This record gives sequence, structure tokens and C-alpha cells, in this order.
Amino acid sequence: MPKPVDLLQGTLEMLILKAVSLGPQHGYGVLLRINQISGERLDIQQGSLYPALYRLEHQGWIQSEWGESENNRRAKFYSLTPAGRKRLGQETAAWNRMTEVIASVLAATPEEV
Amino acid sequence: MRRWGTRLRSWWKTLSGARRLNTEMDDEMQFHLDCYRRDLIARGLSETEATAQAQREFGSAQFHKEDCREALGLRLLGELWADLRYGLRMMRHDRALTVAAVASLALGIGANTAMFSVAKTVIFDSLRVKHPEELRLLGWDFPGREQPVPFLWGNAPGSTNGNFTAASFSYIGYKRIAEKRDVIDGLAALNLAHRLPVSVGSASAEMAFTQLVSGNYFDVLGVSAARGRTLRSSDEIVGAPAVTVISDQFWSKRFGRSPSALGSILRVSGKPVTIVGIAAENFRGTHMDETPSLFMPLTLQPQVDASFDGSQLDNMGTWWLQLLVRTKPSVSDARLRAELNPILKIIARETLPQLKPDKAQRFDLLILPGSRGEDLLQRRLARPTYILWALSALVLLLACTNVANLLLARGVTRQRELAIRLALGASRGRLIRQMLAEGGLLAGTAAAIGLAAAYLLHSLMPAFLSGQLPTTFDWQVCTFTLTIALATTLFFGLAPAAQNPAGVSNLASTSRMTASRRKLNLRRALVAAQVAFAALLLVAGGLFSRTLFGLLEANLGVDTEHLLLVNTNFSENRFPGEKRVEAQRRLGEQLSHLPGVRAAAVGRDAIGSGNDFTHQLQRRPEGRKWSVRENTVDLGFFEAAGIPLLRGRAFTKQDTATSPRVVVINERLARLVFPGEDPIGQKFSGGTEVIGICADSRLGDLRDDAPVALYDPFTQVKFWGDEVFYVRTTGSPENATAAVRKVFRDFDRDLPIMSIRSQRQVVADSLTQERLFAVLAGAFAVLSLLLGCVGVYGVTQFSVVRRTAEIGIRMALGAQRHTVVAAVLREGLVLVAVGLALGIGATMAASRFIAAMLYGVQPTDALTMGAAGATLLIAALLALWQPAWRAANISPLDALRHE
Repeated sequence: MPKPVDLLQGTLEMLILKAVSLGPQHGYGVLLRINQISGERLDIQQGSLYPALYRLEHQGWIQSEWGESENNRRAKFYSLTPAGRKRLGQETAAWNRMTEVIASVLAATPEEV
Repeated sequence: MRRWGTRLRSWWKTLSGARRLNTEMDDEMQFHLDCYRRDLIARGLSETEATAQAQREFGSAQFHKEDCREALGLRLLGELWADLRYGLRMMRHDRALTVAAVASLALGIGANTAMFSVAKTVIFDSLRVKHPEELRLLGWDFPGREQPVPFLWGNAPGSTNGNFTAASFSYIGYKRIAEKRDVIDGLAALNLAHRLPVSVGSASAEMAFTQLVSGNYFDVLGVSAARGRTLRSSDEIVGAPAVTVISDQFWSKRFGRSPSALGSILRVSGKPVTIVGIAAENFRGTHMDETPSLFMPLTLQPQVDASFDGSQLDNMGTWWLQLLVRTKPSVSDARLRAELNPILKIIARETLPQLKPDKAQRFDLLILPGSRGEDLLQRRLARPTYILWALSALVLLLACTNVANLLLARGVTRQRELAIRLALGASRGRLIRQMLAEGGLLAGTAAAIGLAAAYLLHSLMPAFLSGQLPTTFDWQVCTFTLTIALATTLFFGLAPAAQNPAGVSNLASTSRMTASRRKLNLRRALVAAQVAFAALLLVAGGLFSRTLFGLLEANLGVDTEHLLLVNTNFSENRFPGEKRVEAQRRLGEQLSHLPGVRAAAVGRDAIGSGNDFTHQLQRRPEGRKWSVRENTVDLGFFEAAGIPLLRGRAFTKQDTATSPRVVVINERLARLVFPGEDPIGQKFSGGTEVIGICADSRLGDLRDDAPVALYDPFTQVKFWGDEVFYVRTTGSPENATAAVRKVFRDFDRDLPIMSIRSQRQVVADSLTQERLFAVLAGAFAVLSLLLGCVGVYGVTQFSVVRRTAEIGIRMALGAQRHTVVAAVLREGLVLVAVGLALGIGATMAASRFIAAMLYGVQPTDALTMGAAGATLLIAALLALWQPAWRAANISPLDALRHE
């Protein structure tokens, strides 16, 4: 397995939003989904998941509902709110801008300086 | 903005279902663990291994729940709740300290709240009318000290910068000024409210507080009627039907709030007046002090108001009306004055013929604030209120320093606890928050008790201050209490926290020494401050007590033991002219025939009445003018009043309206006007002859010395107003009261008895304010003494405990017990001495503020200060006794073992 990337602070919430945007999911499922989409290169600390979920819900980006899991057990499902969808878009754009800028700085050759 | 809305909703959801939230979090995390465990098992681990690994990797659920709660913003709340519970536990643990702290705080807060509610009414509140800030009271001043108009009614604002100032106008003047509609939105005229005999139905007349007002009075003030109508301009026409608007309180008291009051007829001074309306419930009149029961149009004055001699509506020389103006918002005070001033000058010129035209020109209009109406209250009571408030603020400061001291004392034990908490990772901010929570708990409890105490106290206060003060106890007062509570909370929360510099992380006891030395000095400073406050309050208490006793024991110049005073009023309407003197004499005779009554006579003025009747005297026309006090009396007066007649004779039946005018003068007048001569037989300009000299006696105000006074007979003087019957009894005056009442009733049912009191009682009643001050200041003084003693005791005890080891070593090395005791006493007394010096110094600085309220003592009276100092020292010695004893009995062995 390739070396897991260390997660920058604040990006966890962005990833959760993305994971949830693909469809309502419970906490464990969100974890699995992120792991899956990243091709198993991202391993989230289990402990930091739920505080992040609660924070996002408190701020109104996601909403929760109790439902039944795939094996008929009671679980809390999270889904994206319209505000959350907008937020995800903003965060993604901001992230892309930042990475582009940093990448260009890092790619500078001696001649360009 | 919207995010706050979601956050609030989220908070509400979590707060309202805390337990449910907890269960849900548990369920959710359990689900997560189960899923992970299943997956691990699916990957090949055994059940036990899977469980262990899942648990390990997930971490502590409790920890996560905390993080979740923090994410929900609940952490602060949870911590606050924990702080409060902890604070309560600490308070229960230290019961004695808690009770002492809360009690002293409650007293301080309660006293201040009560004083604030009084101050609100006396100083701050405005009239309960529409937009009181738009109202102005018109006044004027005139150069010189003499009154420029023949008759002036009303309370003058006082003479400022050498001018004569007043706020009264004549009826004609009022009408002229009211014509200026362009700058005035409305002008209402009112006279000085006073008591008139009013009878309802067939009941006998009782004196009621009434006021004559212009027809537009209610309109200008913006006050409506609760029932019926208010007065109209059409009511203020001579000859219009006699109508009145009554106050809500009068309606309750005399009519029991029955609707039949409307339209019923009252008799005011015997004249029938119809009630056409009842004023709104919260209207209190313009007389901040007492609410008039009846409002009648000015034009009724000739019929109902016997205070004046005939109709004042046409009398240009009687300036008896106060004018309240509602200004137009666009008109400034300067413009108002500029526009109205010329009118005033014209009025002066045209209606005061005795003034030369250039003098009349010197009348100058003043625009005074009207939001408190006639505002007699503030003038009278502002200073006493501020002084009482200052005293109670001192008590609060004292209580605060006391509690701070107590908390600091407890802080020694808490230091270990705080050090441990810091070591465990608490931030300083967290600790400060806890201190604040505990301080808040203390202050909050004290504030609640204090508020309740103040509520009880405020029903007692008005009785002292003026008998009718409607002090309010509304939300503003509560806000004030909460503010003080908050301030004291911060004081306590931050003071001990400030004592913990940079977080004492060193748990070793060596640091205890240095840290507690600083604490000791702080505590010493606090106690010195306490002693200073106590000294101030003791001196104040002493001064006020001496004032009271001085006044009570003052030599009044009359025999006060066997004198009954009956205030009554023979109204001009029912006893015109000669009939009045006849009736007075008849009644006097009947009274003197009562068993137990030696003599009875009638006079106009009495001691402690607060009146000030003056008379102008000249020996020769164009000669020097004297202004002297005047008391109009009848036959047998000097005997009844107990004023010795020194020379000459008193009045007899031969002194009638047509016989030569005569007067009796007192000694002071004799010495002043006839120095070195025999006054008997001498005449004043106008032909009045002096027929007798009597001893000096006080009159009117108790605080003034006996004035220069003359006495003239009723038969020869035209006057109007109340009379006082002096009834000299053989036994105690109170016993004669019932019999006197019966005589009055048999004589005339409608003759009102305004008051019937013994001279002693009159004196005592006129001293209610002095009594209040003496009692309160005395109580504060005792309290401050107690608190000061507790403070001295506490700090000395602390010092001894701290130095136990040192004392033990000294004694082991041979120090005598009395040396140790002396050292402890010296330490404590030095503290008290410092505090005393500060306190006495402060007293001298502040003394001029209370000088006006004292009688018979100077504010810097050495005897009082000496007594205060001595009391403090003795009390301090008593407080120091226990710590000194303890120090002397320290066994060296125990001390060395003691850590």
C-alpha cells in the first residue's frame, strides 16, 4: 500500500462534505467511502470523525436522520443540505486555487526567479 | 447571519434534550464500533482480537463525546454548570464563611437598592406625563434681595447670585404670556397645591390636597381621564359651572372606586362642586411629592380657596401661579426666553404701579427645566438623599472588602488545589472562570436576599422621609441591584485570581511562604481600608445622633410639657370678618372650661410649623426698615402658650378693630429696635403702639434660634389661613385629646381638625428626617464596627498561624509569653491606627457636605471623633484578644512540628 498522506487540518471536513454529497451515509460509511474514493491512500483517524460530523451539523452544512442500515440496524444517516452543497463548491474552488498557486511556486526553476 | 440561526436551533435542540443526545451519541458510536469489528472479523481476525483492535483504534468514546459536545458549543455551558455545582459544594462546606459573606453582602446591596429607589423619586424620575422633557417651568429674577411684588405664593427656587428669584406669576400675567402661541405649544397654570376642607355627601369635612389649575392643564400635560372627562378651557371662565377632576387615589379612598362618583357633588370649603372626571391611574400630578386629590379650574379660586383674601383673578399684585410650558420641538430655550422676556417686562411695568418703570424693566425671565414639574422634592431632599446613599455605599464597600478578605483567607487552602489543577492542564482562563462563577454565586445569593430586604425596607423609608413619598420599586431598581451584584462578582472573582501570578505550578510548600506574604499584605491593606470606612461611619453616626438629641432637648422658650396644639381653619366663607374672632373666642372659652385645661387661646403660628410669616416695621416713615417674624394671636395667648410676659400688658377685649393698634414685642426685638430705651409706649410709623414685652421663644423652624418677633391681635389684623389652638393642660396633653375633639364637634360639625398633637409630638414629628439619619447612621456604624472587628480578627489570626513555627522557635529560645502577646497586639493596633488615621482624614475632607444637616455640632467635632476612635480601638483590642492568646499558648514543640 502506498504511504498514507497526512491530512491537513480543515480538509477532513471538506472530505466529509464530499463523501456525503454522493449520497446519505452513516458515520462508518463515510469513513469507508473516503477511504474507497481515495484509492485507499487516505486513512482517517477514527476518533476525529465524529467531532467533525457534529461540527458540520451544528453549522448547518449537513443534516442527520435516524434510519436503518443495510443489516437492519438503527444508525444515524447524514446528508448534504443545500447550504452544504454550496459550501462544498466554495471549498473545492478555494482548495484548487491554493494548490495551483503552491504548485507553481514549487515548480519555479532558477531561470524564472 | 443565517448560520447563527442554525446554530441557535442546534443549541436549543441539544439543551432541551441533553439526555437523549447522550444516548444517541452512545448508540451511534456503538454502531460504528460494531461495524468496524465485523469488518475486522471479515478480514480474518478472531472475535476477541477484532474487538480489542476496534476499541483501540477508535479510542475512548467518552473522549469523543466530549469533543462532540465541544463541537456543539456546549462545552462552555457544561463547564459553567460544573463550576456552579462546585461553588455550591464549597459554600456548603464552609458554612460559617458563606453565611458571613452573604449576610454582609446582602445588607450592603439591600441598603443601596433601597436608597436608589428613593433617589429615583427624589432626584431622577420625571413626571408621568407625555414627553416630560419638553416641559419648562417659567421663572424670573430681579436684582436685589427684596421681593418686588406685593404678594408672592409658591416655593422660590432660591436666590442665586444676589438676585431675588421666583417662579410665580399673576393671573393676568399668565393670560398675557399664554397668548404667545407661535413659540408655545401649550401653557398650563397651576397654583401651589394645599389642603382645603372637602366633604363628601353628608360626612364632615376632611382636609384634602387640592390644586387649582388652568382649563388646559390636562391637555398640555397629555393626560387623559380614566372616566368622564378632564378639564377644558371652557371650565376656566368666571361663572361657568363649578367642576372638578379627582385623582385615582381619592376615588379609591373616598368612593371605593364606585362609578357613582362621576356626577356626584362635593363641597369644597362649603361650596358645591361637581365631579366630571377621574384622572388616569398613573397620573401623580406635577407635585412630585404628593398627588393632589382634586383639580379645579383657577376661576373657582374666589369661592373655594380661603387661603387668599378675595378673588386673585383680577389682583395684579398677587403672583400666585406656576406656569408650565410645553415647548415646540423647533423652538430652543434661548428663543423661548427671547420671545417671552419682553412680555414679562411689559407685565411688570403695567401691573406693578409701585415699581418705577426702569425698575420694572429689570425683571428677567428664566427658563427652568420642567420635567419634574414644580419639583419641590429635589430642593428639599436632594442633599439628604445623596448623603444617605453615600453612607450605604460605604457599607457596601465595607462588606465587599470583608468578603474579599474572607475569600483570600480561604485561598490559602485553595492554593494547593489550584496548583494541582494547573499541573493537570487547566488554563488560567479556566481557573479565572471558576473564580468568577463562585464569586457570582455569592453575589447572586446576596443580591437576591438584598433585593428582598430592600423591598421590605422601602415601605419603611417613606414614612421617615416625608410621609407621602411614592417610592417606586420597578425594573430599574432591579437592574441597579443586578449591576451592583455583577460588579461585586467581578471584584471577588478577579481579586483572588490576581493573587495567583503565572500559575503556581510548584506544589512544594516552600513557595507557600512567599506567596502568602503577599497575600498577608493585601489582606492587611484591606483591613486598614475597612477600619477607615468604619471610622467614617462611626463619626457620621455620632454626629447625626448628637444632632437629633440636640434638637430634641433644645430650649424652645415655651413650656412644652403641658401643651396641646390643635390646627384648624375658620374659613372666610363661613366665618366672615368679625364673626371669625367671635367664633374663635367662643371656642376658646369652651375649651378652657374643660376639666384638666388651664387655659386655651388661639394663634396663627406654632413651633415646628415650618411657617415663616413676616412683617415690615419702621419706627419712622423713611426710617430704617426691619423685617420681623409675626404671630397673630388672641386673648390669653401668652398664658396658654406659656410665654412669660415680662413687662407691660397683653391684649384685652378693649383692643378691637377700631381701637388704637397695639402689638407685643419679644426681647430680641426690643433690644434690636429700641436699644437702651424703654419700648413700652413707643410707636411705630402708622401709629402702632408697643404695649408689652414677652420672653423670646422659637417659632416655625426648630433649628433657628428664637427670632425677632412681634405679636398682634386677631381683631386688628387682616389675615387668612389656618389657626392653631393652644390648649394648656394640667396633666398630660394626650389625655385631653378626646375631650377637645368633642368640644370641636359640638361647636361646629364642619370645622375641620387638621391635626391635634401635643407640643412634644409636634417637635418629634418635625424631626423625622433627623431621626432617620440618626437611626440609619447609627445602625451602619454598629454594623461597620462588627465587620471591622471581624476583619482585624481574621487577618491577625492568619498572621499568627503563618508565623507559628517562628513564634515557637522564639519561645523555645526564651521569649516570654507577654512579649509575644505584646507583639501580636502591636501588629494589630498598628493596623487599626493606620485605618483610623485614614478614616479621620477622610471625615475631615467630607465634613463640609454634611455640615448643613447638623445642629449643635461641628462636622469636625473633636469629641465625636475621639469617641469614634476610642470605640474602634476598644473593639479592635477585643478582636485581637483571641489571636494574642493563641500566640501566647503556642507550645514550641507543636510549632516546630506544625507545617
